[in-house]
Amino acid sequence: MFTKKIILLIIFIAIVARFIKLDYAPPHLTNDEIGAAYAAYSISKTFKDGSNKFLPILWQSHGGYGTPLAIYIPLTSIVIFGNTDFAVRFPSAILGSLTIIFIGLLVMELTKNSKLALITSFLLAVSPWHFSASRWALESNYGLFFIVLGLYLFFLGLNKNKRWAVVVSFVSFTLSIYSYYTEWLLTPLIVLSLIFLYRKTILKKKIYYFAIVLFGILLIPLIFSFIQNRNSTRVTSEFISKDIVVRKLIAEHPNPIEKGQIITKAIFDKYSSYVSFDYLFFYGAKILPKENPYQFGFFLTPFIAAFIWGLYKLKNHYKENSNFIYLLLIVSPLAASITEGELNNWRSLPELLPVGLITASGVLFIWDLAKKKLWIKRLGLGLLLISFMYFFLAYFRHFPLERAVDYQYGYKQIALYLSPHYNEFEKIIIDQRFGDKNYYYIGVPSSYIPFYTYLDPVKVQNARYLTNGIAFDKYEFRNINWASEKVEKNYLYVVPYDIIPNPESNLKLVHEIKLPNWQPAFNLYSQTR
Amino acid sequence: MVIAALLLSFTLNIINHGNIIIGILNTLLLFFTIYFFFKFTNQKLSLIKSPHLTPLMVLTGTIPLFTRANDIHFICVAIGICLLTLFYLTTKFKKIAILMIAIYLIIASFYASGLIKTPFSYQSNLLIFNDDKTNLYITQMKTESMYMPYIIRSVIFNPSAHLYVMLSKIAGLFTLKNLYDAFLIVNIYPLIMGLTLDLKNWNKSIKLLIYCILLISLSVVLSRSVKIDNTFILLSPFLTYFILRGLNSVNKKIYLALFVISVVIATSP
Repeated sequence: MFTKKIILLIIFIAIVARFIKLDYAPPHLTNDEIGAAYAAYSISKTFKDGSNKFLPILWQSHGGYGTPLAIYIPLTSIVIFGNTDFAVRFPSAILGSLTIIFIGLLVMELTKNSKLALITSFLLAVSPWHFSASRWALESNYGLFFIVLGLYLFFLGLNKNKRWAVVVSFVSFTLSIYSYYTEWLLTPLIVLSLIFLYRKTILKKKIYYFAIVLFGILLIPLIFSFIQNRNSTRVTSEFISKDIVVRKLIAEHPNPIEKGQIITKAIFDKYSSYVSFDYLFFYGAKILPKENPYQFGFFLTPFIAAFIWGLYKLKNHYKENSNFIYLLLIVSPLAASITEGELNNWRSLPELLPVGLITASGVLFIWDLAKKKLWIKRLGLGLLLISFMYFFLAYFRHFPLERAVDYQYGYKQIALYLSPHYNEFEKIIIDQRFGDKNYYYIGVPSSYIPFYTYLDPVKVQNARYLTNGIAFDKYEFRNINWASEKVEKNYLYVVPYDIIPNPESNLKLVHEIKLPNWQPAFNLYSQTR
Repeated sequence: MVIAALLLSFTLNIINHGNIIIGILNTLLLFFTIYFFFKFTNQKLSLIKSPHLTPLMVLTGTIPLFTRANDIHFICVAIGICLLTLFYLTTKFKKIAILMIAIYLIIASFYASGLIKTPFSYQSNLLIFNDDKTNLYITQMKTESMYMPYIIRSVIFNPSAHLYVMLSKIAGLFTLKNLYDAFLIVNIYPLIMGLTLDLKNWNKSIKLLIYCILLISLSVVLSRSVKIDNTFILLSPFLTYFILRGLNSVNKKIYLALFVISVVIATSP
């Protein structure tokens, strides 16, 4: 009883910690977050997104088309709390916290073992990657929530014969598909696995037929929207064949059989990386820079032993349901494995579910095994505490200091400066580059500035496209080349800190934006002062 | 069947690199690995007599580790491991044999990871504790923690982080990709079956295999750049043992289907 209370307390603390300092860590809204946040803000004011589309299903984001719930979930909180980081991330923190509760309920439904249910919730609560994902406005986190909810309701309906639960579970599965592209492949595979594994019950009851048909019908709008935008959606543009190395190999071996072999091998290789122990337990959370030794995986490192035990002993707790968990383990990295680019922990977020269930099973097994060996329990708890302490330090202290640049840090601060000084300038020209002379990245200040300054979305919807950027209202977002720039009075110029204007232009530094580690980020110049 | 496997391995060796000496050495390594398995299991099981094992055993001749490896030194070193473990199985002086195996494995692992270059040149700059980037980050983490008293900072952020990196590298050693590059996808199936079987029927002698795998892994990750191919050559006798051990329990249809996939992957450009 005492142990259960302690576990419950820790889960409570971990949930509360998901809401603390949402505007500080992560240090800035990311590219994807601001894209969705701005579209949500624009829709809340005009029923149209930034590209002037009325209540879009798939909406135009920076890198293609985004999924619907990425904008419709944060919309309400943006309306309530205003255009702040907290408002954008709050729904994700709520859904992340609910996932912790529903995963416990799911385990309870699958095993009737309350201890195992608590341990599973505990594991997810202290999972570095789930903790991080819940503090981002992350579509994949919404997707994970709807999958867990759907599974819980499915098994509730199956075990207790509750018809409403069956229907709502399939609606939840649909919503997971509306949340993130990974679920476009994963959720149908989960649904098919459930139908196959529990066919004896499912095929006998009409309610399942109804739920499956409803599932299909609810997907129709999304399918239509996909067909309309099929050339721009990430599903088509991010397939593994677009990967630089794979593309090069395919170009060298155009034979269809060899092409098939290359793609198959690339998928296997990527799949291997996504299921590797070092990715899952050592660096998958990618909180700190790559070379930093203090990395964290999806779960804290000491749980690696429990995961291995869990793989071996899963049947002891899950009985016939263990086949479903193994299947989930196999299919959860599939969608991420068929996409191009580096390992992406957003795409592989669903792995948290099977790995968590298996690890929790291993934890309980080891805990029961070590009943009389107190030293094993103490050692385990000690290692766990130490690793969680490291994670907390890394997340709340070092992560904002070391990763701010990766988050386009500075655009929010520029907007906060511009709000009270807006009327002082005739034109505001913002360079789209950020970083430093070693490498300049291209940012999206054209989304950050209107969001934080509450600019009328109609002005953005009527934006003018320049040869090297975009312009609306008194803003221009384009690269600034001091040699050819015609400097005007009452104009404000915003550039990365090391792009220094010519002395002849007579520009004066009016404001500096610094990173959380006090390194310079942006300089604001004008002739007015 | 063993002879068929050896012939298959030798043929593939000749096809892959056309060098007879390497072909013979690789085939010899496969032979000693299989022999080690026979010896090891004969002590308590009569697994070899099982009729299900033999046909599939032929396919062990296709294992890339025994057909593609072309570093004569490491193949010889791996043969040495087989001979030493065979010596352990037959001798009365078990403790001396274990000591010899341990020393041999550590030194072989140092060579495999480049920490020692032939003949006896120790590369201290390759030692994981001398990784400048890691050390830089440890210092940076300390600097960023100025709000803590110095002693606490030093306790929390210190070179013990290298141990964590080592553990991470060990975890990264046993990825599916490394395993199927060395043994083919199909052999991961009997490998897992073999491990499970031995875990179920736990026997003290299995400890030798586990300890050898751990010792090689730990020694290899002391180097900043782990050479996967060399490491798996050293691990080959022990991992192949589990593959052969599990072959008896696999579903033949699944095994053959996986073999087809393995061929597709292994022959990919």
